[in-house]
Amino acid sequence: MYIKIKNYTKLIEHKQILHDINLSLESGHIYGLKGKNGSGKTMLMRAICGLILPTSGEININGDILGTQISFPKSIGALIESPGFIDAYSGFKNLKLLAEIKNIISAQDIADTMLSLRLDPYDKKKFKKYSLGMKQKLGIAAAIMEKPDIIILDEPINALDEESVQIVKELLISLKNDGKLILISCHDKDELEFLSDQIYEIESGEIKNFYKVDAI
Amino acid sequence: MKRNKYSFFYLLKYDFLVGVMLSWKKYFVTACIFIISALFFNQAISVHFLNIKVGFLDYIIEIFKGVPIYIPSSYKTFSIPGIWILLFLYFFYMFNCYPLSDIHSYGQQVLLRSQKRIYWWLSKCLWLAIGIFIFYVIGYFILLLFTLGTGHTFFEMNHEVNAAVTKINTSNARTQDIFYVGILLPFIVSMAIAFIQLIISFITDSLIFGYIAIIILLVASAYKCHPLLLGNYLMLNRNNLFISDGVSANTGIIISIICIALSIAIGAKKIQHYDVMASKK
Repeated sequence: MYIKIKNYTKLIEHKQILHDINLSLESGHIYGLKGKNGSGKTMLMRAICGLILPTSGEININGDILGTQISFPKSIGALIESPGFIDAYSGFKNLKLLAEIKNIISAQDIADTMLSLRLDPYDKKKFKKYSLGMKQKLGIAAAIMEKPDIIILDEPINALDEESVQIVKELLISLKNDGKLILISCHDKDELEFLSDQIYEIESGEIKNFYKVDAI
Repeated sequence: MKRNKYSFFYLLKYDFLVGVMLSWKKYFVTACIFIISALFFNQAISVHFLNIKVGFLDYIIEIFKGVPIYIPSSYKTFSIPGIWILLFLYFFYMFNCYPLSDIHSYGQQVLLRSQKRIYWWLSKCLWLAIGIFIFYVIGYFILLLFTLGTGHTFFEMNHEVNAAVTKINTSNARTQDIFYVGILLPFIVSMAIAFIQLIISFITDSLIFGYIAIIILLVASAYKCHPLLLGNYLMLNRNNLFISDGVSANTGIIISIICIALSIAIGAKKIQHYDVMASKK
């Protein structure tokens, strides 16, 4: 599995959101995106998901051009910005409703994913009653439950307590070892460098710098 | 496990659950508006008649009567029909928000899993049609209950009441005519207007623009009787079944079907290039 981004530029209302992005990502790695608020990290993630389409350039995912040959990557899970779920449903019911669309995992798989994030699948509590941290973990669960090849997580450890941060970190490393291609953004530089194999620094929609973490 | 071949039907199920079942409060308000309308009608009847029976179709005529054609003059002021405008302002508000709010929130997760942008759009179109059908079923059910209360034959009209209270001469209208102009026509035309609203909201990426456009259309329809102002087909007072210079139901249905088909086609094109961004505040 690979993602190749070639000369990707995105203009929205004549404003340059992403400019001439060139990236090459491969499975079995965690890639970090570093940058200030509004630098274009989230937009780049949306672009890789196929949620926004390029003004020029292209994204090639395993040979398929996003937006022309495929609408969305065939196997992707994403948490972008705050997770939106149905307030009136429990966490498990929310995930089950989503999982039914692809129907590639069982109810037990959903429960196992929730348990791996220390969320109780049998908890009848409605999503609107969830704490911020629980909502965030449910968002991560939605992104990884179908065991996608590409996992995109925008600020995954936001609102999490120390114990949950540790759980998410272990989970991400285990997913990387399973051969997943993971792209994350994080405000915490130390956590980002701990998790990532390679970090891209984004500023004003451009990649200004990149480095391998073990090379520091 | 193999990938679900029927993912479109699960998308539809999702839209039905989120856009209809979990929005039951909106349908509850629908029932309340029909109840208020029927109560006003009963009240108006009691002023003119004692112990008179009215049927289901009389309630329908009352709700969709609208206003007669307005001819500007110095002594006649322009007025908008109260219950009629309340019903349709609520109707279009009810069907305005869901698709756009969905695509900017939970719907993104659904979209990624659906694999095809067009599925999302077609599912929303079907949601709209089903939602409108349920809206009318609830309304008509309320009116049937009121009819039961009066003890009148369901599909018989009371011409005396219509002449005195509704001010529409129904003596020459057959039951099937009223079904056509009072039930089928409002259903199709209001669906067409809802599709127009949806497509305006979708293209401008703003719920406000779509809704304002529809308010303007409704007010303009009350002001002027013209076949292209679709609101006229929602007013029985403007129908050529009752007045010679009124609008034709057949024309209304043809225009509506064209509008629905065009809206679906424009939306299908638009979704292919639509940027799915963060939630709208």
